Amino acid sequence: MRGLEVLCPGLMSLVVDRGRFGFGDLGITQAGAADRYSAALANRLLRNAPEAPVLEIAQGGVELLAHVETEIALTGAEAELRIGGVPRALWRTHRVREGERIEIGMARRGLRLYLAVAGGFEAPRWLESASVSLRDRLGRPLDKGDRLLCGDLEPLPYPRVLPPRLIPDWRGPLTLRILPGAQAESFPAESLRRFYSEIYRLVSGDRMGCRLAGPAAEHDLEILSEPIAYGAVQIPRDGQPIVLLNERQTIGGYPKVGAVLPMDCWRLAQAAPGTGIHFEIIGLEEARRATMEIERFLGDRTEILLRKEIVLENQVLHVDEMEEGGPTLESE
Amino acid sequence: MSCKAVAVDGLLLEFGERIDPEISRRVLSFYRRLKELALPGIVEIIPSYATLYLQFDLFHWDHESLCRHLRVIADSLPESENDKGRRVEIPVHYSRETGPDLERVASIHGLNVEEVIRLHSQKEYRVYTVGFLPGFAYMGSVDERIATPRLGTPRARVPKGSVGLANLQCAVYPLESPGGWNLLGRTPVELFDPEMEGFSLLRPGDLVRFRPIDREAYFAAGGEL
Repeated sequence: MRGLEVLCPGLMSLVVDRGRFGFGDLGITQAGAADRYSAALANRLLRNAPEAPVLEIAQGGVELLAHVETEIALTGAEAELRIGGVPRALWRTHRVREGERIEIGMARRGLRLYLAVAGGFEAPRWLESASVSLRDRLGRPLDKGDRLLCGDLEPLPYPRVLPPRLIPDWRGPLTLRILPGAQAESFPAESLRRFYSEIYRLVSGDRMGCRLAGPAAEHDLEILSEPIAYGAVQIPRDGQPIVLLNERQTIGGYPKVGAVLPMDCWRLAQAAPGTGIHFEIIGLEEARRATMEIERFLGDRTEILLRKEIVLENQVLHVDEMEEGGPTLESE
Repeated sequence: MSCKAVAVDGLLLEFGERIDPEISRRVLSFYRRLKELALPGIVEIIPSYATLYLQFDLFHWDHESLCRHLRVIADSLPESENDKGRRVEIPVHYSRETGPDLERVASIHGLNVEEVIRLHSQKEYRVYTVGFLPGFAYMGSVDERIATPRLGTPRARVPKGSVGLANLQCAVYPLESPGGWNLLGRTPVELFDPEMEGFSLLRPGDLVRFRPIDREAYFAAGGEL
């Protein structure tokens, strides 16, 4: 069988795409890439559809053997990449030949790496998405001996490289922008003041959400269970915030101060425990503008042309700037 | 109905603040209407007890234009409407083997086991919302004579198909999972299957009855212990 053979699956590696939408009324969570920026750019580099299935690798430590000739791009957390034993850079495309090993070291900064292959991974789909969902028990993490089937290779005429200014800096602390939600005005003023002025620390996080600790934003609000948006910040009685992410439950009964903007959630999903976190209110118009800008950039609507570099024997012979485009990474 | 921005691409419609059949009817009738209309640029429509959440495509809608559109739709809905949900019957084997809390629920309320089974299976329940797990339907309202609070300590493992009771609500566990509801019995039917038409046996607004079956029928239908 052609494809990539899994020699070492890492701690938890999942095939993901943008996620599963339209089934929340049946209790199905969105799942999908936790850091959509890195996942979408891995695909963009290879000229794949932005939603083509990629491999989300938690903390690295993956080894694959190619039984096919393909091209790959690895993005996300900082880690060592070797192809056929030779160190290679992240955030650019590489040719991989049959029989070569792809070795991905442990993540040094950031938590999750995204591996895309030319044409995307050919993975099983459930309810219109290839995203493995641990919560909904759709699919499972990668295992030793698995084969990842690759789409068709249409070789790029030259390697594609992401301009360095578009590579996120994974160091903390983070500022997360929040759009105030349905119960925002019901919280005691003093709790809200504290929530937006103090620094919280990331205690633990997974694909469901992130638990933070800091000065308690106390309240005595009781609400009926209601549907939960991506990025919703719920505050249980103990006053310690929880930011809900890709595999959150679809409904829940804790009051919420609001929702963190999607691109700030992607960045949070890359943060290590201990990272300092500050919350900042953002208005609806500004939130909308910033989100639409990043969505356009990730290729949902328009094509952006990455800088093209023609590389021969490690020497850049020709750089064609074309049209760079791209957003400013405001949360960095 | 109030219409609030709760995410950059999310709206929450609020119809009330209680678990109430009348409020739920309005939520679910609006939900059904939106599913029928299949408006472009709507990504998710999720109903709960008194709220309805919509996630939308930013390139199709903004909060204001969508709220305005939703109000027009709301105005066109009949004031009161009979329950229009699909009717679903779920066979349940109520027993000590399949329902480890059956006797305790009976003794708490000074009833015998047969009376608990009768009270639970004679009512028609409405699916208020689906969540927690894929296909996990929150149904109500349970007869007050058997309403029982959740266990103090949830079980680490509730078997798939278990029929549970928590206060005035009941539910069926579609998958094995941790859980704190009082377990009365188990059904052999599939509640959730990605290969099944519609994926989930129960959907918001459905009207559900439980039909008691004996041990033999339970096993014949594929039930397990």
